[in-house]
Parts: sequence; structure tokens; C-alpha cells
Amino acid sequence: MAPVIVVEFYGIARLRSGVASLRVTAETVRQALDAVQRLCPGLGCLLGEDGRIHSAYLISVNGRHFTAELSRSLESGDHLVILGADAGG
Amino acid sequence: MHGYHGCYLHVRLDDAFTQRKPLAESVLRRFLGGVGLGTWLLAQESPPGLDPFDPRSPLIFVFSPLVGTPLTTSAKFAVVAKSPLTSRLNDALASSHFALAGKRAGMDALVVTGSCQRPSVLVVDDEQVSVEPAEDLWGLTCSAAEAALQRRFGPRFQFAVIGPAGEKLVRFATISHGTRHAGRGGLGAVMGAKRLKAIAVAGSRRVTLADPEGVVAAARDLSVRSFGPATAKYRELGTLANLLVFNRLAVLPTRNFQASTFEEAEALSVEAPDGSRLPLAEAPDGLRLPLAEGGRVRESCAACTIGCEHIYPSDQGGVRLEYETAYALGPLCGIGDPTVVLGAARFCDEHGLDTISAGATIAFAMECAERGWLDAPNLRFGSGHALLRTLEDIVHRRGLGDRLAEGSRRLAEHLGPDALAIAPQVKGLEMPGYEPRGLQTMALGLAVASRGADHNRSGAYEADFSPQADRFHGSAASAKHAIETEDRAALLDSLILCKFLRGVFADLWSESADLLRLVTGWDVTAEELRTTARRIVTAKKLYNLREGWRPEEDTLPERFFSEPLTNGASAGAKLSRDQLRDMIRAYYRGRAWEEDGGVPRVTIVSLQLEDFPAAV
Ligand code: SF4
Repeated sequence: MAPVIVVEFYGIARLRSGVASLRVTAETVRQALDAVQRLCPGLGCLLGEDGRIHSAYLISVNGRHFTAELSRSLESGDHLVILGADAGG
Repeated sequence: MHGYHGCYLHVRLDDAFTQRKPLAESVLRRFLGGVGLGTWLLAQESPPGLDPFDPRSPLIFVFSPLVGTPLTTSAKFAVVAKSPLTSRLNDALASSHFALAGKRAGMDALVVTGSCQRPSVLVVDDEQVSVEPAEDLWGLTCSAAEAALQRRFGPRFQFAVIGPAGEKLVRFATISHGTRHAGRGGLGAVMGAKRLKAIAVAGSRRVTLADPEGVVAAARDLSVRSFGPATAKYRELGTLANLLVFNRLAVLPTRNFQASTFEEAEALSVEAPDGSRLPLAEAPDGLRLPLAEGGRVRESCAACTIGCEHIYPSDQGGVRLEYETAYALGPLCGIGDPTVVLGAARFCDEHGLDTISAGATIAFAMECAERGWLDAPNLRFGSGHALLRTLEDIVHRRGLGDRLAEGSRRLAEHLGPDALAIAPQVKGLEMPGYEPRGLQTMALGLAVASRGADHNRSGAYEADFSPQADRFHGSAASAKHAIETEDRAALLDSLILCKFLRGVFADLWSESADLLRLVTGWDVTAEELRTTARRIVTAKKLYNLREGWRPEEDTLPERFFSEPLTNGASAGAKLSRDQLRDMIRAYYRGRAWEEDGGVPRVTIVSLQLEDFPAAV
């Protein structure tokens, strides 16, 4: 069974998605983002035309390190934190 | 010369002596304006070793080549002086109509030395300069003083004023214009030491632009881009949006840096738990609503298309609440009641107190009191009453407030080495809301910044908030990020453009060169501007060296090396002294400075600083 991931939204990401958090099933960061994209069309594109994470967003697994690695695998209970790319300042 | 008047006005208050002094094009091109030109003028106009409160110490207001153009966010000015908090160079920016009117008064900068016999206002009206009595204004809050000055001088004039904190020489007093503040480092106290309640400026002189149509076209383009995603946070939420993000990442300094998450953060946040934002009010009626129910209104500086200022309602009227203010008067003091935080923010704005230094100094005193090092039984984390009462005591220098008005470092030196280990300051300047153990590139930025713990002159946190850096393991590789963001800040603060515009530029260096070329006609390139930024950072260092800077100043308080973080997503994060030392060495190398932070002759020559007054 695919892992259940908690996706959290902050700042502009929360504003655009209209929710503070939701659950998706996904084995990788890419799958989680695809699921979020379907559930929250207001977020716009989470992936840029170059296939990477869109420059407007930052992604962190469990709030520790930021990742650009879409193939990174996720485990059940992981939290994917989505922020606007302008944290700080 | 285009874009500049080519001169600055020097006013000596003791005898109302005034002189317009020429500014050579070679100086302007190398230092631009704002913070850069202010650094040159400070070194030029002040003899070494002066106390910041010595009447001979200059207080300098600096405009820039872009002020007065239609370029968005360019209506800004810098204030530069030796800081009474750090005894090092201090520069702070503020915005809006004072910048426009000051430049129209026919000067690129205003240098004020000397002091008045009695409370006064300095009036610069084109060629006319006078020093007029202002006893009736002494003791007034910032907004009351500005309102009284407006009635007295009329709508042509714009004013920079100090509040009661500046009058009482509180070492973290601000200079205010239109409720915006040149906030950090105690510039208001320098002005208070001169018994100068206000500076009034008006004028009718405009500079020429090298390519006026080109500037208008560039301004239009920049304005359009300023409505894009790069500024969405500032427009739609304001900097207060940082609060929940920092809390989630466990880098929100709490209870004087004893923790990095705050259990009441949601109560202070701008985002509602259901995912919506707290609503913006359309009408001032909204100012009646409490924070939790929304009722924000949005404002902006003159000539700005972003409008990042979100004004929240309080009992006494609207309050501009930025992340840094909320952090320092909220979590850092253990306070989660938005009514208290808004009241404290408004009090600081009105009385001319730097909210970061005020909150951090009080948070430090709260910890000292809880540890029994200070006899202040009511000063406890979480006590809103204690916070509000202590702010009043600081402004009036009453009781313990008199000692707190000296800032956290001086209080800690009085209490002893254990207190110094937990005083939240670098070089005497209180720390902004970035936890260095969980943001280790920023740890370097905070340690080496010329004016002390500083999030405006170093944006090193940008690397920590990205996949490029490991925020828990700062290393020599962090230095390049710290240098790059410091250089970008030096450029933006000298041009001057607002930093909230930075994300709009695909290439800040080449686009800034384009803008400067259109305004001045200089054949300036991106590479030249990179050198200019490096020059400005090194010039600040040369000034600090002249004023007695020592290598041990570039560090962080002992707490950050001896206490790992224990909360949330940053649990286990620790920073060692050796680690920071390696980062600092790499930073010095990257700046072409000496191993101990000195500036070698070869760097002075390569940055064309041979004639920089503090290098001679
Ligand atoms: S973005 Fe904000 S601080 Fe910057 S110029 Fe505009 S209103 Fe002022």
C-alpha cells in the first residue's frame, strides 16, 4: 500500500490551496506533488516548465531540509511542507 | 551630471553654519548613494574615535540617484552614523516622501554635526537653511510631532522626527517619518543628543535624467513585474507570514532563544487555520476589529507598487506589524496575545523605539529575572503587563528601564559573564528573528555583519531556506552564500531599491546596471556593480577597523555554541565555535581580507579605496 503523506501549506501556498494541510498517498515527492496539484488547482503549477519544482515554491520533507529531488522516496507519516519561495526577509 | 545634484549640505548646529560641498563624480560612481555614499561621508566627516553622542559626531541623511524617478520602491533614504549601541558604523533605511522632498531640496545628502542649545528643528527649504526652536514639540510622540510640524510649516514640507525615546538617549531609539522608521542601531539617540527634534525639508529642484523616456519605460516594466509571484507574499500577507513558517521549521526564537518554536504562534499569525488569510478591510471601519477577526488595511511607501505594509487594528488605532516586530514583542518575550503585541508595537512606533532591540532587551531581562540575576519579580516571560510597563520605563528611563535603555550588551556587562553568554546581541545590536543554530548560513551572516546582528544587510538565510545549503551544517562553503547576499544588499541599499523587489529581477546586477545607465548616463556594467558592492562592504569594514573593531567581535553569544536546539524540526541542531570560526575564515578569504579580518593594501587598491578616508 502506498504511504500516506501529510502535506502542509504555509504562506502563499496556504492561501492558494485554501487549506492548512491534507493527506495524500504517494511514494515519492513527485507523486505527492501531482496529487496535491489535482486536489488544489488554485496552487497553480507546482512544477515549472523545466520539470523542476516551480521557483515560486519551496518543498521540505518533515520541515528539516529543503529538497529539489522529485524522485526522493517518502514513507508513511512523512510531512511534506510546501512554502512560498520567499521565506524570510 | 545626471541623477545627482553633485553636492551635499553640511549643517553645523552650534552656530547654524551651513555649506554646500561638492561631491566628485568619482565618489558618486564608486559609492552610488544611500548606504554606500553614507559610508564614505561618515568616514570623511568624522574624526576617528568620537563617541556617538559627541556633538562633533555626524548624523547623515543620504538620498540616491534613483530617488525621484518613477522607478517603483525607489523613494527611500539612508541614515548613517556611528551607533550608540555598537560604536560601529550604523546605517538604516526609511521610505517615502521625506526622500523625495529631501532630494528636491537640492542635495544628495545632509550631514548634521554639532548640537543645539535647546530643542530645535532644522529647516532646509531649497537654499534657505535655518535652525528654529522646538521646545513645544519636545516630549511629543512621533506622530504628534509630525502633525504639529505639518501645521506649522505646511504641506510643502516633509519631516524626520524623533520620539521621546530619542530625546532620552535610549540607545535603540529610531528616527521616524510618516510612521516608518530608520530603526536599527540608535540613530534617534544620536539625533536626540543634538537636541534635534526634527528635520524639515522642502524644495523645488529636480535633477536631470540621462534618458528620461528610457527611465519611464523601465519603470513601467518594473511596475508590471512587481505585481508578479515574486512579491505575492509581501502584497497579500506581509512579512508576518514568516511567523508560522519559522515556527514550523523550528527557527522562531522564543523566550530569549531558549526555544525555537512557540506554542501560541497561531494566535499571532496572519493565516487563518482553515487556510484562508485574515481578511483585508476595505474601509477604515475595519480598524475596529480585533486581529483574530482580520480587519487589516494595506498601505505603501510613496512610489511603490508592491504595498507590503499591512496595518492591523488596535485599541489606539492602526499598527503596522512586521514579522520582526511580532517576533521580538511576541515569542521572544513568550507573549502570544495579539492585543498585547499590537499595543507594544504601537507604543514603540509612537515613542520611537526599535522594536527588535526593545523586545530582545526585555526578553533578555526576563530570563535574567527568572534566573534571579535581576531583582524584578514581575518581569516574567508571558506577562503582557510586564512588557508594556517595561517599554514605558525604558522610554522614560525609570528604574530598571534606565538600564534597559542602554541595550542588552551593556546590561549584560553589568550583570557578569553568565549574562553576557545569553544576551541576544552581536556587536551590541540585538538579534533579529532568525535562529542561528537552525539557520547556519545565517549564523555566519549575523556574526560578520558590520552593524551587528542583522537580517537586512545579510540575507544569508536565503541559502538556508533552499536546497543549496544544509541549514544544520554550516561550513566554509556557506561563505559564498553569505557574501553574495551581503553584496546584493549593499547594491540595493545604495541604489536605493526596496529589497522586497529583489525576487523580481532575473539578474539583479545587469538589470541594476541598465537602470543606473538610464538615470546617470554612465557606461556602468554588471561587473562594475559587483565590484561596487564589494567596495561598499569593505569600506564599512575599514570604518569599523578605524573605530577599533577587533576580530572577537565577529561571533555569536556563547549560548549558541553550548545549548543545542531541542524543539520540533530543528531538534538536535548545534553549532560549534570551531565551525563558525571556519565559516568566518572562509568569509574573510572570500572578501580578500586578512586571516584576522583586517583589510590588506592589495584589496584596498583593487577596490579603488586608496582615497577612502578610513583607509588613508
Ligand atoms: S515593498 Fe513595502 S517597504 Fe518596500 S517600498 Fe513598497 S511599501 Fe515600502
